[in-house]
Amino acid sequence: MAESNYWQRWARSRLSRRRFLGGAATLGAGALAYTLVGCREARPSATPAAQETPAGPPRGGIVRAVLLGGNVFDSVDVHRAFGDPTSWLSNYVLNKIVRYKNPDTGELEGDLAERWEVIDGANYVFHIRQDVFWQQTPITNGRQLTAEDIRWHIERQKAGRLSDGSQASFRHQSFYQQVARVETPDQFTVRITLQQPRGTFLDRLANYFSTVPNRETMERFERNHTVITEEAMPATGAFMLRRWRSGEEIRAERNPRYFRKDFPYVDGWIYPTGLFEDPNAWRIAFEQKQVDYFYSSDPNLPKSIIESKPGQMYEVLTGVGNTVFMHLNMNQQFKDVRLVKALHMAFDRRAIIQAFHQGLGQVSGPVPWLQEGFAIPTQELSNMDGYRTNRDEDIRNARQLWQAAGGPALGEINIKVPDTWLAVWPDTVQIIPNMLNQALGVNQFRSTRTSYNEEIIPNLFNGQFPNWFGWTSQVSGPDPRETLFSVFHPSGSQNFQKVNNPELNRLLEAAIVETNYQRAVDLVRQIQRILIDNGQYGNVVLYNYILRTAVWNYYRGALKRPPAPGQPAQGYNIFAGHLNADLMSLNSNDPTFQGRANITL
Amino acid sequence: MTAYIVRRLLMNLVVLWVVVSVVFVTTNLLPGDFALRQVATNLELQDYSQALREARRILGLDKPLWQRYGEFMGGLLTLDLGRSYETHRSTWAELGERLPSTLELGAMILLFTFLISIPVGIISAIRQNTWLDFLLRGFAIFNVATPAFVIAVLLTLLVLKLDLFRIDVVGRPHFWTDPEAALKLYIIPGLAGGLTSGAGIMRLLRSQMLEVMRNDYVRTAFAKGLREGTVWLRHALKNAMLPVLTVMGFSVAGIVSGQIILENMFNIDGVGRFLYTRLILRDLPPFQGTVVIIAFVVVTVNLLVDIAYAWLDPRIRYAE
Repeated sequence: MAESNYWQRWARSRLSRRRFLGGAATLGAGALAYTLVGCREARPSATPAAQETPAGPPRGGIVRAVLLGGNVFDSVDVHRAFGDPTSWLSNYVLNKIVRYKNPDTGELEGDLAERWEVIDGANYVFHIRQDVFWQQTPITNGRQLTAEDIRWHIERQKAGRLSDGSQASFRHQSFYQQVARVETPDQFTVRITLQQPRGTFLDRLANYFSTVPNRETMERFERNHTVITEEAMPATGAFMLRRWRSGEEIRAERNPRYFRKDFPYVDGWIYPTGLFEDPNAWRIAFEQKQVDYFYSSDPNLPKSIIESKPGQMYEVLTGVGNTVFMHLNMNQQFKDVRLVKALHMAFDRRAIIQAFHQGLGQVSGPVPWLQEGFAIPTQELSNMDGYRTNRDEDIRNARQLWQAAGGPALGEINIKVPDTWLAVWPDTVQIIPNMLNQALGVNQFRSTRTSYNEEIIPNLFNGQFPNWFGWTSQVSGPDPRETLFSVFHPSGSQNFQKVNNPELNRLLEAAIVETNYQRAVDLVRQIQRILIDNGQYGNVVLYNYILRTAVWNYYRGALKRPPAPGQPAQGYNIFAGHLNADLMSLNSNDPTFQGRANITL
Repeated sequence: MTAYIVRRLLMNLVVLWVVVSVVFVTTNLLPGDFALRQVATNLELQDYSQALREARRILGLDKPLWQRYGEFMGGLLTLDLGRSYETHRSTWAELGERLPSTLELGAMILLFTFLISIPVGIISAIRQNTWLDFLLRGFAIFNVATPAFVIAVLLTLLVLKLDLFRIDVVGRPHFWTDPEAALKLYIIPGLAGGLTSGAGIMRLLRSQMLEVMRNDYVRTAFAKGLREGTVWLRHALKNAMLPVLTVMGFSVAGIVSGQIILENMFNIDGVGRFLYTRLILRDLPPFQGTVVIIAFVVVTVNLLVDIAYAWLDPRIRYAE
């Protein structure tokens, strides 16, 4: 903390006669008050951190919040980090070639590129902004970012080699290998040619893991890229890292050279990584305004806090990317597609949302509702097999299919539940089999524990994976096409069920190269209808749940819909760190700002 | 006496070796490892397997268990407790940063333990079977039966509801940097921990006092006309404290190992919280190194308590 400590403050204070007498009087009154109300302290008044501007949100102040979720940083190199935290953090510090204007629909806007042209599905031209400069460090010398930086960014990941020519593991190498060549006809133009058309190329460039790091710095840290330090990520974006240590807090300050001159609104932020292993600590910090918002796996906790401070906080609801699935192995027990279709219809998604999430969730089709541009609209979905609000028809059809396909003859069926899920919802091993037994009128389902990393992942490629229920980190961007192709096309890297449906293949191949957004949406919805007709080929998407966050009125982040009287705010379902970096603000004129901890960098 | 101490020291070495080996093996048998925490699970899965292999190679987790055990034991001989996979810092450095917070919390807990258990135990004994005794025993039973974290939660809710004072769970103040903020941070976990551990000691002290009070030398002291307070405090209490001292000894050892739950609840960056987070992350070298230190402290304190017994009570002599 830059704040002076207690003893320095004590030493600075002078004890005048007036103050001594005042102190004596206060001591007498305080002793009386103490016996009545305990040691209530006088709160410091609001710091003059943020000031209203005539137009737009207030500026200034230091946000202290849990910005990034998980926090085990494995590398300073965004190209080589195999965990998400480094990529998440980079969205506050670095920029992408293009970025999402609306992360949930996938609408794009320029980031490092001020504009771009899609010649066809295989040829793209990007015009790079001329006002982007690297943060001033001894390594970068604050030089200008040029088209050469973009070329290096793509070619390095494609080659998977370090500056000395040695081979290394790059997380997205397979994606960049589809690039045939990168040309830089001038200092600020990049022309990219793909091996073959790919309609999802721009979407991948806008995703959270596609930030462009500084070449000289990455090359300097190549040999010790797992040692986490702020020096390894010089900024072009909204904030410059002042301190970045694994397992400790991260501090960042406004980047004065950020090319979006009106942003960011705040002067800096502190992310207390490694804090709050226990919700009690986070709750104390939030209620006493030491941090600016609070969420919990128990949605009732933020709700009760909001209700205890009427008018002082608002509620933000955000969809969670962990899509909940039931995976049924079609290589083994469920070779007949009617069996998986029966279970697809027997599963009562809405009941499970109620049981586990107090209703905070929404059923998902093969494309989760989080990817709102491509998902089947709720109205249509609720009339489809497995999604009907009136369960009778689904259950009747499910029972018929189960009997017709010889389901009862399969004997005992184990739907395993991974420990990660059970840590939060231990009753699952009873609830899931009971629900399926009841729906199908049988007594053959049971559930036992398993380990996602020990039993499920190692057995995916050999087709020996168990049937299992739980979440899969699935939704990382708004465009589902790469995932659908990977899971359901015979050439897909994750087609563990060995799906090969000619009509489905044709639609997948058409969708993956389509560059027109609306045509791509139409194709993806056709794909989903085929999947639902076939019980999603055993990869049964069930639902996505919703996170409830309590936020003090004085704080605003990037919101899809602001709070209104009687209505919660809606956050972006897809990671929106780049928007949050620009848009988060603190309003010191809001009455709730009174008593907020005086936070400095 | 000297032979006894030497024998105990040798036995302690064996105990330490067993503890260290058991901890090393069991923690390595736990499902998952640090590489799994580092590598995201939403990658394309071919990359995922490759990434895991690479991460395990960098961390040395691809070596067989016996080889890692050998390296770990070899490190111990040179007082090298290993380095954190996450921070790359030595276990000594990590512990050095966290020990002060643990000692502060431990001191606070001990303070409340003494303040509560000694007077309550004495009063309860000398006012045996009065309403005051029943009240204090009820208080003790409540605190024995209620886990410290429940008391801590109740006290926290009280502070938050009445807005009594700021508990600085983010700034992590120390008594030597900001005593006022530190007091406000440590008072609730200190009181909760003190009530829980003090209740057991209070009940032990009461029963010991009652036993001692029936001894002849106490009657003699009264017969000599000594003042009541002098008899209780100088004659009875001193002898009643012997078993209490043993329990207190273990409490002191417990301070070093930290109060895992209380430290987590109040975000106190101490040894207990460190152990918990290292285990959750499967950051095993600092976890194992810390357990070695704790085991060392516990067996050493145990030995010192036994020696203190002999010093306090001249009738106790250990066989040569």
